[in-house]
Amino acid sequence: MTRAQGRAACSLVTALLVSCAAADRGTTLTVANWADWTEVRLEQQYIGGFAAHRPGVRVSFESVPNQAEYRDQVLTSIAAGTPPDVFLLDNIDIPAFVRSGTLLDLAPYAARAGASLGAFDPEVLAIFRRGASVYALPKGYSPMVIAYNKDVFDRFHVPYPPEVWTWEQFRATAKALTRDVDGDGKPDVYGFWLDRRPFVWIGSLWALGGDVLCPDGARASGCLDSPASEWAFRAFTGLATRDSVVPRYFGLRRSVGDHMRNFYSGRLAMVPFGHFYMPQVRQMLEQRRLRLGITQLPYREGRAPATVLYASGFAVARNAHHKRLSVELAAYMVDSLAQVTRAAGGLEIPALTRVAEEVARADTTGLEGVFRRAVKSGRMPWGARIEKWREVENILPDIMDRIVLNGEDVAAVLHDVAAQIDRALAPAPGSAAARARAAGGT
Amino acid sequence: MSARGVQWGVVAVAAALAAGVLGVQRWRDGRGLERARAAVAVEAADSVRAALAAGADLRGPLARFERQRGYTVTVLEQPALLDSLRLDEAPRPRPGGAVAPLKDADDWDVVGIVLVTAPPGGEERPPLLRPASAVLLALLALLAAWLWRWAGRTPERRRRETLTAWGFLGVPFLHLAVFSFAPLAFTVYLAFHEWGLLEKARPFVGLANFRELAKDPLFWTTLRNTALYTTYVPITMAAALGLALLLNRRRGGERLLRTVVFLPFVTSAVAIAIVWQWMFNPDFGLLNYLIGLVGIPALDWLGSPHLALIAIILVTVWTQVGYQMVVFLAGLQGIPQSYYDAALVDGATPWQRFRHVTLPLLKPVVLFVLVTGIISGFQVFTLVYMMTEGGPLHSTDVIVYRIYQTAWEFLRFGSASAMALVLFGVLLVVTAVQFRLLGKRIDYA
Repeated sequence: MTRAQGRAACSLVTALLVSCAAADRGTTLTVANWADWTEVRLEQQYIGGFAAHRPGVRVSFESVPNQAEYRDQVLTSIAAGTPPDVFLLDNIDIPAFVRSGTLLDLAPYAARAGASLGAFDPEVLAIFRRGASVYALPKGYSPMVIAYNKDVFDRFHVPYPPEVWTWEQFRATAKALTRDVDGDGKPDVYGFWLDRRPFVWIGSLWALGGDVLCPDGARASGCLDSPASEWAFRAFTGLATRDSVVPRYFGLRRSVGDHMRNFYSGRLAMVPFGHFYMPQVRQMLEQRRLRLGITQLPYREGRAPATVLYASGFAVARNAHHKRLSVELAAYMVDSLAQVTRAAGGLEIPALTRVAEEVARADTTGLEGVFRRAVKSGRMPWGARIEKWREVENILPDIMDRIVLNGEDVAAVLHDVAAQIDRALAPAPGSAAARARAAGGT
Repeated sequence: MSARGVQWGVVAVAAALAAGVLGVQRWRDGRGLERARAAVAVEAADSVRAALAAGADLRGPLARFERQRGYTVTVLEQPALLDSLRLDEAPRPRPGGAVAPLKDADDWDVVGIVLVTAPPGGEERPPLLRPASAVLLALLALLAAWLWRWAGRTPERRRRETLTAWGFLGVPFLHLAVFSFAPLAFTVYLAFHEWGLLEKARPFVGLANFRELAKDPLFWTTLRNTALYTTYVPITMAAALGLALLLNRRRGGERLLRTVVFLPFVTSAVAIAIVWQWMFNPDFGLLNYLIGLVGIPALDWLGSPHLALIAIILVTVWTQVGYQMVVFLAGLQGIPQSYYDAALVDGATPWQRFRHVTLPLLKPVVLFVLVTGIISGFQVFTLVYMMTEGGPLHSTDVIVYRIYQTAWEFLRFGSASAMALVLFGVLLVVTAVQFRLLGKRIDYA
């Protein structure tokens, strides 16, 4: 290398270093979420507008598609004092985050940041609200409903179900749709799909008049083993043990998606369904590979229809380094432009009432309207109310397992599981919470 | 190196380490001082904001603050710094003090800058030597004195060998200290405390976490399942030894087969779990198709509480057999041919050669495979996490999965650490028993 070449190389390296240093100037806001690449692409479509009005500010996404890994990452970063500026919060994490004082109350700043709290669906905002405080700005939500494959109904000349229906109507329909087509003595098409995961069946339990926990959320005894809950579990498990209208009981907690494939291909007539399935369904609907109908969860005669609402929202950590910018960014990410852009993906119902109504009006399938009407009977999930719901949720699959796989008595199982949940909800002996409770009691 | 050289080397290293300890202490004290000043600056900014909101004259509150805290408070006019603070609202250090953003009455807009300056000598100075540093320095001095004495008394050759050995051991020891011993010590600490990761407080709870475990039937179920799971180790060892004996030849075909058998071991456990989940599918899985060919009815491999653990053991055997085979092959190739020749001359049958030559000389390898197999068996996680999440009916709930759930899902790090300690104890006892039973009479070729 000649001296001139050496000088040129040095100049080039210096110029590169200087330009890198210049590029690093300014503020980078990080947004953490559990979006997959299609969602991230949608987010990036509108996020440029935020930085455009704020010179020197850049927004970067830290997306971890696996929600469990995402949670671990956010928890660790908050504990380490380096939280993301804005992060997506699942309803199940609200109690723990609020109690530990991790979250910034957004209510005092929402209006100044450009978010009108009155514009959100009140049922959804309530999930993130504690008194006058709001700990996340709702991004979107979904009620649990029942989806049905119209082709299966047409094939067996069974009329489509009404939008609101009773458990007996549902059961009769499921029976009518369970058929042995090839005459080998085994059904080839099943009426329904029984899922052991509590987040799937909790809405149905409410619709049948039962519940897992008593209203104060402190115990299960007296509620999970109440006659209404017992009736509901007999009804669920009876689909497998008595009516045989569901395929092989899926004993795993982690679904590999078999039931949805069977549903799309016409081997299952009805499945529990959330708006989060819509992205994969949309393409099939557009290509006319699937004709889909949606109906609300069946309710027990004499009770009111009910379902569960699952929501997520954008939160800011109390120890965020750029508080104002973070709140402004969270508000920007839930405003109408963001919600309309996101609605194109169809993952959830937009949390802004006006946008959700517009999306429902523009929808030609009629499905969005059913989702919106189901919200009217929607309730806040237990996970958004009590901190130990994950532990409760870990015990609950035992109910269906023991009844369906072990053939145990429904009442005995419910009584036993209720006692287990009571123990899980009670503070551990010797723990700080137990000592505080004891001190309060004396 | 001469004894004197080693002794002065020890002194130099000890001095460097002592300087490091003092440097770290000084850096920490400096950070602490910066944090304290930043906190004062934020406090001062809050006082100014409150006074402005109340419409009061600033002089009174500022004078009171200065009297109480001993810091001088100034409201600065620096547009560039103001713009910067609007973006990043955190307080910043300044020589002898700190600046903090002054927010408006709604705690929203940054409208000014508050500078606090400590009067010279007005702050509490950190001590020259903190107790922790003093203990470390004392230990360092003791170690240096011991090494000085050792270097003076030890013959040169032994000294050189020892130093060389420590030269090699030093780096991995440091690595172990930082990434294994320190987390282990923290786990021991957490096992006697209650901690939810998000809380700063970690109250001491004594043995409460262990008492809770003792009363938790699910914990005992997970221990039992984990112990049952480790039955894969002898099964895999038998299969691996058989394969190693079969493939212990130097031909092309054997090499290819060894590679094929070894491949699952280097494949991602997540990918393996997903593929096997499909293979185990009760309706269209390959396994049910194969057993159907011989007239066995379809099994719900992962859905039945009686079969789920067996299914996971099956996958583990398939994954591990290649690795164990390679270890056995290495052991087999270390046995001198002359032993077999002598046995042949004595008229030993193949079984007798295996029983009286191969097996005794493979004992160290058997011990190694057994001990490491049992330890990794007790640490099973990925397959359970991916395939069954502990179900159905907790038939595949294993201890590490329970530890993960307790820590990361339920945010009870104290209980999870107590479980980890119990697991550590169990493994320690099991390994000690294995060494006692198998490690006594080892024949080295």
